[in-house]
Amino acid sequence: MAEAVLVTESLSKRFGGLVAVNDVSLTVQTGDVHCVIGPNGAGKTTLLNLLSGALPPTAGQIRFGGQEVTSLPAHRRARLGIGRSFQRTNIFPEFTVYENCRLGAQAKLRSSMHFVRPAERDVGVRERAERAMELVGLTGRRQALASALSHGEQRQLEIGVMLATEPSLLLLDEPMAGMSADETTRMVALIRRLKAGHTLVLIEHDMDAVFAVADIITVMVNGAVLASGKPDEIRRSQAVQDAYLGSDDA
Amino acid sequence: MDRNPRLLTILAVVAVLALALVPLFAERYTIQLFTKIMTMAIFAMSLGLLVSGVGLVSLGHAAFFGLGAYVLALTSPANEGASLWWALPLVVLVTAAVAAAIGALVVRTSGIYFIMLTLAFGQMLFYLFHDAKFAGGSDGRYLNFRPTVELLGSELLSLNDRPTLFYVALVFMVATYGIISMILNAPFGRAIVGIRVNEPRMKALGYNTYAYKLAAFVIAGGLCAVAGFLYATQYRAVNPALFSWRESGLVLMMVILGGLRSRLGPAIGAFGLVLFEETVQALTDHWLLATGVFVIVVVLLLPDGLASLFQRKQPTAAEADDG
Repeated sequence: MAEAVLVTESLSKRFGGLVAVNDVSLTVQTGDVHCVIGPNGAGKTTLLNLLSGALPPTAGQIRFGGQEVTSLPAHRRARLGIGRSFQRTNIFPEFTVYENCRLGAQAKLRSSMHFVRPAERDVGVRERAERAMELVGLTGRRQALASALSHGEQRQLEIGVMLATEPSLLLLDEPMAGMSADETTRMVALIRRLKAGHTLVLIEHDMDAVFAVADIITVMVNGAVLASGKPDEIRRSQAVQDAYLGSDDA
Repeated sequence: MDRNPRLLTILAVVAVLALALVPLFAERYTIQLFTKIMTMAIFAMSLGLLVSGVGLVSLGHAAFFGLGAYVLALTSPANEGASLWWALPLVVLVTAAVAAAIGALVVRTSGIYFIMLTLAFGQMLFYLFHDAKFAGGSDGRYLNFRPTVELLGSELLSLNDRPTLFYVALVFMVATYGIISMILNAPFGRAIVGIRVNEPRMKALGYNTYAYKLAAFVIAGGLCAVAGFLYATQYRAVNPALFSWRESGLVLMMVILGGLRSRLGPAIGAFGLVLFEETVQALTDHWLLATGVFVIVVVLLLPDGLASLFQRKQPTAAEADDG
């Protein structure tokens, strides 16, 4: 069995009286596409925020690549190789597609405390930005302002900015949100391509897409893990049927 | 901040060349006026790095203007001029150190809290120097002799000569613009502009945004000290009013008036505001009222500031879109 890249132990997050994430213990294996599903308000995005470091947990532990990262701030975790994309598109609207990706690529420098040499001169950064644009299929739109892109293209850029940092673990929050069928198909293809060389944790509502890409599915309800297993097992699970999949609003 | 469109760059070069001719024709008063304006332009450009670079609106930037001026006045010998070669670096370094201490606290905040905290620190320094005996209290201090500029034991420039001081201010102003422009083109500048546009995303990408904001605050403070140095040199006197929130508000007004989207904006704002005031002061006693109307009209009609008069319309999203 491959070594687990990401492990959480009894991870919890409380907001006042609300327990958003309750005692979640996850193991994400290297190279897997690990999907987290569940109804709205199940705590999926909060879980992702705990993993990326955007929020500190109330209790529990997170280990990444064997290293304890529970108390590391978001920017330190990003430098260790945890990349994150957001449910609500979170790009730099007034910059071009290229500059969006270039900023992602520049984040990989040991430091950006360079004051003299123009940023454009760094060939390594430029090449990383180019690769990221190519991966998400936006090379042809490099000079377009991010704010001028279609919704689907903005979702692609959202992923591209993250990929430019060359992370090893990708945390994707609803990459297909609001996409047309066509765009969803392309995103599924992209996720399959990313599987080579990355581990992915994916939150998604589109069940067809989830079952198309997932190696492991974890079902969350009310902040807790209801079930976790291979797609077949989840599909057959009576508890999951009752709590989630059975309802028609998925 | 956007790079300047070509037309604006050409106009700026022409303006600097025209400015260089001023001492050849103009009388004493005009030379002094333009020296003061160029000092204010440096002051405004240093604040511009914070406001339109990082997106931090400071209402206490005069603290570093006052510090720059006071450090020169307090460290100059009583019976001769300080040497510019050590006085200027000293002024910049001391001010930058104070900016680092203040910045370490204030850049943790943003928005209205940042405005209030910078205002509070500015007022603290105002009262510190207002009440401090060593600094001359509310009267301030005189600078008995202007700094000297020597090379190999002989005098290179005399800052007592008005045209010479004018040209020194001109060189400092152009150099400040060059330094800020260089910084904004470098990885550091790209990072701080990214922070202005979307700080949470910058953190998620791996940028320690606190460190970049603090560094920008220190650089802005250090550059502002150059303006304070020039002020003390020109007027040979410093007083606590240099620290006042009125001064901070005035320079912020220049930045906004000039335009937040242009690198030349703060300098254009400094020239625009002071020259406007000079003109109306000669015409009416109610010039403050006129200045207020001027600022309101500019902000309403030109949301991108005076700089936008000299540049073509920014390409809209759709126009910038063709590959």
